[in-house]
Amino acid sequence: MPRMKITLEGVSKKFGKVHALQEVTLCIEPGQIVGLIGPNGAGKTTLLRCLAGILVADRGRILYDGEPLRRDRLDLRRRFHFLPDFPIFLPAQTMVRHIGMALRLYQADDDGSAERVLELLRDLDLLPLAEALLGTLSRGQLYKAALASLMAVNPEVWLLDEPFASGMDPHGITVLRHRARAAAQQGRTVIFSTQLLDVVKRFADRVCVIHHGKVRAFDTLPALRERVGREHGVLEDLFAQFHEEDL
Amino acid sequence: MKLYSRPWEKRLRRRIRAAVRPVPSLWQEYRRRRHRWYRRNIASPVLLLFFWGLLVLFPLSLLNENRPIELPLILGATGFALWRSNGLFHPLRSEFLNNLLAHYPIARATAFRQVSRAWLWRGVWIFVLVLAPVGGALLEQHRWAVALQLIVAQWVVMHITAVCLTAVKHRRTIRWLGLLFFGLAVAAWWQPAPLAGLEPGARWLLPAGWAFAVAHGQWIRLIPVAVLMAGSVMSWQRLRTAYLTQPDAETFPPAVTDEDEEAALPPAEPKVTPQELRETEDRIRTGAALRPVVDTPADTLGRWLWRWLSPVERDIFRFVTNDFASSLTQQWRFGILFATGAVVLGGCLSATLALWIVGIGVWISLVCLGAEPSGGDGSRLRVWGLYPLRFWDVARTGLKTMFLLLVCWLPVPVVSGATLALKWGAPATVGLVIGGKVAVLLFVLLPIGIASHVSSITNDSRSPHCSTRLALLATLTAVLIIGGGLAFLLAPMIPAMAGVLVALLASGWFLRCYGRWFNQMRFDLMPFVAPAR
Repeated sequence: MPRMKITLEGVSKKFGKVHALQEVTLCIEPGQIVGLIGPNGAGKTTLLRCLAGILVADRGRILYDGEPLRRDRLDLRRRFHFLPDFPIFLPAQTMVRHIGMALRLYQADDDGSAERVLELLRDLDLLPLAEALLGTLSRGQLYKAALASLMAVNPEVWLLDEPFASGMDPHGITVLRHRARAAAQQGRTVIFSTQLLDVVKRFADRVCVIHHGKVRAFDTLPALRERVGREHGVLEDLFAQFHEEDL
Repeated sequence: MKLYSRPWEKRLRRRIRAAVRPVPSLWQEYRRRRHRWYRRNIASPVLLLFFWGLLVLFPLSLLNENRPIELPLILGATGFALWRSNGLFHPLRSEFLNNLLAHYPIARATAFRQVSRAWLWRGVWIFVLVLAPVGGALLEQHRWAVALQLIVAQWVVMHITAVCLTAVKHRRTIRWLGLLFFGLAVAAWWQPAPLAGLEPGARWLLPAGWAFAVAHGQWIRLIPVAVLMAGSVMSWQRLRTAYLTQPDAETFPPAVTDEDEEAALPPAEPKVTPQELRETEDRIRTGAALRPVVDTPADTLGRWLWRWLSPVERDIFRFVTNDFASSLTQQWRFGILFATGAVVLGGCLSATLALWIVGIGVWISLVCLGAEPSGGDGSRLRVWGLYPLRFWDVARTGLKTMFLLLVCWLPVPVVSGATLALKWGAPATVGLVIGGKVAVLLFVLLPIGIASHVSSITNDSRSPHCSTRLALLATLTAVLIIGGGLAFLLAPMIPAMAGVLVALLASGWFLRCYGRWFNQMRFDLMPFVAPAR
């Protein structure tokens, strides 16, 4: 059963004079869906990129099952997959060939992979586009293709940047939610960023609120409600508070 | 219509500052994030100034040489006319302008006016920056008033011709013809004798030669100019009408609102038939669709390389060449073509000039060859940050690709060296040896080239994050390579061998250290980009 624990210990990242992340300390247990929220420029994408090993923390460390990441540790890197908000593709490749490449690189091209891909494409309404060139697809279709590739690989950790603002149709979003939930039930971890508070409330097991690179809250929604002592509008109040702080 | 209004922006800026200043945090953020003129990328203006500076200063420096100037000017001006014709034609069909027209309420007539005005202004700049100083050379042969008239007349005729030429549909031919005339102008400047015979014909045939003919008292040449002018008016009108009546880039069929009308429409055919869908499913199920259709590159060099690459390297090569969309053979062919052109041209010129021309040709040929050191550009290479791939696999792919290309490119430095040696009165073997040595040094530099290519997608060389350790290593490597390279080129046999060995070891060591640090996560896999906040 896939169970990968991610630990961030005092992770800080600076871009010039800007503190994108400040002393972020988190422990993300496997088998849960974590929603990253925060105002624009709060550091959500930076955090996801740090988790994916694309950005390197200036201070602190990130441990995957207690081990630090190195770029030549392919065994570790094959256990997570990062989907940026604008997935990058080769425009001259067909969708299935791209998925085939991802499966090969993740060594997930086992005997059942073809059936798995077929089912995914059917689920995401991508079958008619299966052999279309990626360069000819719309943004939402491209994101679905990238999602299909991630789901076909089915790594232990899914890192998704703004999947709910990706141009996907409602059916695609529903498939994502169902599949992500199923993955979490299997012990996989799904970490996604979003600006949609309703999505976080209904979909995430835990909420990580980031502001100015600092983690302001990391808890389940009921726990947050309990802490504030109110049933409704907890996240909305937090954002209003950030807005006032900035002013 | 103006697209931008500076006074309005100024007023708005003042209001914004007034609103932001009372709040220290907002004011601080505003000041930090606002765009300052010195933050602009100054590379392009500097390069442009350098380029124009060369263009302006070079002919002036040769004023006293008393070269025949009229033929080069006629040919150059004709080249400019062809080039300017494309300068008017292409912006009108640019994607940006079409998008602007499709998304904003701008009349096509306004867009046409903007583009043509910009074109004319650019023409004035050309006049000031190039034609006037070049034409200044005429002062040697004419009084200043006559020279000025000649230049202005030349400029006017050049632009009239350019407008006339917009009627020509084959824009690529126009571009290549322009380039040919520029080449002829340069040749006529440096080697006037072989092309001197062209001058009388050029005065007749080329519109740009009219001004000179008139200056020589041949008033009859005003007739073709009058014809040309009438033609340009017609061409302008035709261009304008064609542009104004052209449909917008994004047009949609009118929506059907009537239900009866809708019912009468034939049923929409599905984009993919059920049969096709079944076939696709079968191809996925059997795994055929998941495998690449094209198993090997189509070009010869690509196929040779393919045999040499491991399965993982093949995947990387496939990815960075956009599924073989870019061809190694084509890169090599362009490189060889440039070098051959330079060697042939250099062979006809004086020794000093030949050195420059062949040197530049070899350099351009090398750039053609190595523009994509691992068969792909940095932006595409960045993608592998998202996938579990090893640095060494990527580096090895690049090394193998470039090694093969350089081996195939070897005739270039050798033949160039021999040509130059003969030009300078030395035996061809001396040139062969020097050319060979230069090629060997290029092989030495390969590992560094690969590291620098990878570095284009990281933050180590573009941001303040460049570590002291990397800077020290780069300096030490540069010193060793320059020292070793000089020893290899100049010293006798044994020190030369030692020199090239030291340079090779330094280069290899640099790649090794870079790769290790890369793997140890010392660099971001993104060039430095300021975040939104």
